[in-house]
Amino acid sequence: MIKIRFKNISKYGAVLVLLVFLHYVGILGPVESLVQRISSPLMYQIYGVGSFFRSRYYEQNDIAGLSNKNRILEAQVRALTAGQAEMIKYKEENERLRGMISFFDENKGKYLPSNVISRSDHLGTANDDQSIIIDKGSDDGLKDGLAVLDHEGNVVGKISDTKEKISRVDLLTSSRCKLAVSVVNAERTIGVAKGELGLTTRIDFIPQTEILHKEDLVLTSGLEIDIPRGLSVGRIDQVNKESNELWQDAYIRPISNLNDLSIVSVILPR
Amino acid sequence: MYYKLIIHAIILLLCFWFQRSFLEVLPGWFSDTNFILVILAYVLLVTDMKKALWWAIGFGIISDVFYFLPFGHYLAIFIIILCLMDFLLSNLLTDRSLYSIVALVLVSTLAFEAVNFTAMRFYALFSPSESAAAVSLTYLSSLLSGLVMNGAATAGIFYIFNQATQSFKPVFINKKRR
Repeated sequence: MIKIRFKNISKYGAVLVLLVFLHYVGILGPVESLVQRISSPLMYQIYGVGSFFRSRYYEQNDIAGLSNKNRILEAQVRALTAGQAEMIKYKEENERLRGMISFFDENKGKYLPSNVISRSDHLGTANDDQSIIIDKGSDDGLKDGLAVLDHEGNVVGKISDTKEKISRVDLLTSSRCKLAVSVVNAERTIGVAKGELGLTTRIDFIPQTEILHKEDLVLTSGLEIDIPRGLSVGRIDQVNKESNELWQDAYIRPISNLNDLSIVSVILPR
Repeated sequence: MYYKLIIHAIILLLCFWFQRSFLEVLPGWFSDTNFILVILAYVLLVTDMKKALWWAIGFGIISDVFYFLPFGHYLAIFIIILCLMDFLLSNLLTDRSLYSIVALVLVSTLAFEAVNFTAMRFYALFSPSESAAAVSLTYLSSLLSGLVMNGAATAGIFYIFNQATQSFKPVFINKKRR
């Protein structure tokens, strides 16, 4: 005979409904905040262990490409060193001019450092690891749409959801992340960079008349509220330009290593 | 009684932190493990349905606090899956051997993914910014790796139980060849 326990199930179903009601009414809010606050420091430590294994795994997979990458980087360092002297000269001139006209530096903003406590946005198979969870939330002044930077000041993503003490950050390679960018080229091409397949970031609908080169620097354009311009996003990795198409598109290689994030900074609204 | 409650709460939190901050961070197949489901199966086996339901509620609440889906999503799913586990244990997988426990966890994993997937597609109708999961090759391969990892975790915990304590042996029938 098939046994089904209806009595217990209905009692616990009522508990479920009550808990959901208490959450949406706000009564459970302080309890949730307390659990998040207690859990975050320990989750950060546990995350550090998992992140260590994750980094080693991706490093092992990349050993074959490391020597090639090393040669490219050495060449870049030499080119950058040559340009550095000129940059210093321009910087000094810029500071003198700003001082003269008392120009307010709109790129200076407040930053809130945060620890990464997890990756992935939901339990189960259908989750992707193109999101990170940080230990700061709406109680700390965070809201959707704020830019998140790594320890070197490169953009890694945007906040997409907040709770009292934690927030979800969609990384640049997430299909949910859309960022207004501009390319450092002659035409100062602007566009919207969108994550694709969890692997790369793409700018679509670039006019055919604009010329993009591989390794062109991509920065935030400043056209979004709360995201200042001039933050480095990545470099152009590939340009798809067909003469019989209306538009061209370009793939961006993020500067930041999105597989190895432990401490990030959130740019607070002005 | 309160002492036992505190111990249960601490173990529950530790299991959740292990899932959320360690397993989900690992690369490859490890991140597809649903350790909470495996723990729920063993709690049901070792105790009774009443205690297991409280564990399901505990896991559900803390999952809803730390994941960004509508509150009640994981509460409901864990209760549903636990009822399914209880039904299977009471009527089909009654011998409580290693193989039946692994089968229980695998069926529960499939049911969990089915309910989770359906709910996510439903939420995507009301929230255009959320991308709905699609049944793609990537999803199916993740599902397969999740099944393998959950089965492996189940078998691993079974052998740890058998090594750690003699009192479980009459419950976990391990048929030896003669």
